[in-house]
Amino acid sequence: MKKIILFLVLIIGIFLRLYKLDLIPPGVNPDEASTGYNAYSLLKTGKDRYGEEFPIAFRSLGTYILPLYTYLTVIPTAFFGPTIFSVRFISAFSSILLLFVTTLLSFEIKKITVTTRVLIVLFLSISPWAVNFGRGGHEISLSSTLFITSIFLFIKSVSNPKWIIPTLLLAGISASTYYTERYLILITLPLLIWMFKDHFIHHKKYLLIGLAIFVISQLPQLTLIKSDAFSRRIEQVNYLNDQPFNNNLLNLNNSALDRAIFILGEFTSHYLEYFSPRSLFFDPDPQNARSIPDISVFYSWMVIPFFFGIKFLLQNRSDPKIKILILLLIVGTIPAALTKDPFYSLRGLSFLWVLTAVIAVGTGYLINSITIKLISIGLIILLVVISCVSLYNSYFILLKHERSDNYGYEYGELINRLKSYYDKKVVIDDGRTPGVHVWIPFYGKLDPRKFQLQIDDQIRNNYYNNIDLDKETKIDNLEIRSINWINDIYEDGILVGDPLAISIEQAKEHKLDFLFEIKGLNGQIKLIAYTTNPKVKCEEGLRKGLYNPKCLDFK
Amino acid sequence: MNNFLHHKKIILISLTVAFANFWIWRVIKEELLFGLMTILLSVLLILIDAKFDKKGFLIFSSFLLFVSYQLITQGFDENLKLVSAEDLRKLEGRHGYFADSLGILFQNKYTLRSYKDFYPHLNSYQENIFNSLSPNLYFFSNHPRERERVEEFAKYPSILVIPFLLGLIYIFVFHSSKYLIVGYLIFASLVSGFIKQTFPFGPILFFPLINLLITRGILLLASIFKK
Repeated sequence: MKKIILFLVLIIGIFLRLYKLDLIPPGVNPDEASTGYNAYSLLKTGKDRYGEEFPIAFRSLGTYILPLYTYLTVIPTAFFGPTIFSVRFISAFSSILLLFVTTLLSFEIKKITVTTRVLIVLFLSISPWAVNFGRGGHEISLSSTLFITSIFLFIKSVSNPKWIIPTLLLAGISASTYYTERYLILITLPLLIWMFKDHFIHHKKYLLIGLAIFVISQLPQLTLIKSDAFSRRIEQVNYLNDQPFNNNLLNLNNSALDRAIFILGEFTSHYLEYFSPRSLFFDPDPQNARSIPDISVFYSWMVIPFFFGIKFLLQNRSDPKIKILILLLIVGTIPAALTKDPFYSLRGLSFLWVLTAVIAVGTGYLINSITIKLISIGLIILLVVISCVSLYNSYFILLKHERSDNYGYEYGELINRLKSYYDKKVVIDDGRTPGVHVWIPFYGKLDPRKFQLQIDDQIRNNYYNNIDLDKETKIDNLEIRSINWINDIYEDGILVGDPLAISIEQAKEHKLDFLFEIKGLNGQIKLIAYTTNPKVKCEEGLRKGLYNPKCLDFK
Repeated sequence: MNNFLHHKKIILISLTVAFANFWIWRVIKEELLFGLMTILLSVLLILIDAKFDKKGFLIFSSFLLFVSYQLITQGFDENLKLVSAEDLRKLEGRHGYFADSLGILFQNKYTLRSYKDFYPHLNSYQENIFNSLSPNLYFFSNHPRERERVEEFAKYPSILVIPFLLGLIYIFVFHSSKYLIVGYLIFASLVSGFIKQTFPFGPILFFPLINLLITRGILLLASIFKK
């Protein structure tokens, strides 16, 4: 019976990760678009969109992305084309794989009951964080799956030392997939090996082979150590450099002690925030792009089993496998706590995975204390139904309406509308979001060769040390850049921008003719397109005695 | 005799903790009587925790109820009765999305009634509870997730977070009267749900509990160093 329930739970998990994967979230965020277009470019040309042959780190939107996810995305792109589904496929697949790995791992923990094992997989299937990030085209879903699989293999290696070799291989691959896991592994692995040193001291051979494989797996990344590509992301997000210290409100002096106090205070407060019931069970992640409306990373009711789960772990801390869970709970959020963003859930997926297990263990503990079985089963069914309803309402209904801005939905629509204007020059304003430079090529499936041809030599010759955001992209009739109000209005074409980029007053002043508007899924106008009217504008200029060289064409 | 000395030590430490923080002085400055009542509540909780007896528990419970009543009277969150204009706009905006997607499942009188008359208040209540459960609220003025439209203020010196966490672990693992602590935590959370977030004293019912945990943590630290 419990096997059937486990099977059903896995089906629910798979369904929640694949249902309308190409439609919800409604579009792709800039990072997903970048990954998708790079994968398309690799497939077509063997180079990324900037023309770099098989990069070790992908230059993207002012930073560098670790490569594995993009390379794997080439596979679904080959089958389905550069679509939203292709970008998200590897992530969804990893998330599904994680369900199976978790099932196997739960059987390794002998201190918990079969019911608790089912609960762990069930909660992982339906937890908002797992569904949200499992459906997003981010490398984090893949890296956390690899990391947790390596933990599973490590547990296996405690009884069979040969398993330490694949453990360290997977850990190495995980470290090359996302920055969080890179640092998490560097903290976790030595601690795990130290915890089981008595075991590994007798099996040094396997450990050394594994460590050698781990080091080899890091060599490609180590070749970048002197470039911006290696350190850029860390420099962007940490609070150890001057700027956050200078911005602090504590009136600290610039002494070493004051700096240490500042860093310690920042670290402790950020670290504790990841354990705060408010951040875990009530408030959504502070950034809209990473969160689901009205729902946190876990459901509110889970706060109760969370406390009981912690209690269970502490009471059974002598069990080696529980020890591993406690270790992951303690260190899992250290890399995320070293960054200046408060409660950045994306950087703590492996930690959230452990918490899911803790909550399930706490629920199992509570369920076992209810003597009437019918009540405990009824309670679980009720909680799961309430959770699924709230997930459906927040994720499958509200997210698409309230968060479409984050996924460039309007630029997907724009590309469709512009198909009938292929013979006109179109200027798309990028003033408010650099994401336009990847949304348009991705949604338009623009030829990567043409994208590569217009790339600046400065980027081409200095790929791993050029962190500037794209300022101008020009392919066929499309130009993505800021609108030039001195020249563009005197040329025949179409200007597209949001209502702030082209106000009604500007349209009137420059004799622009309204062409169409695009609304977001929340009904608000997101983009407006106007055709220019150079002849009328020039005539008006001449009447007023204003001269523009471009007007010579109309004389 | 040893037991007496031990209790005396606990009370001394807890009183030191109770006065050596910014929070209580803010309360005393605003309302002396309330500050004294909070101190008394804190001491009573420490005493009950150190030596549980029915009579003491009854006195403590009665006093706790009295303080809670005073607190709710002074700081009641009006959002639990009324829906703010901002929330109303949000509800109305979402009405169409739910109606389109859920059809009759949403557009029936029971769901619509709970959507308009129950859900916003429950949400406000939960928001108040979860905000009071954040450890950063007490030790880091809610940094790094400061709330909008709420004046965050320092309650305890940040360094006390160490004995607080130790005390929490100690109570979870070793303590015999942990059910008193869990019971108090649940009660304080439920009452704090009724208190508005802009209340100048903050979730003051947590003051005795945090003092207790810090005291336990300091005792644990002292015993570690003694060894």
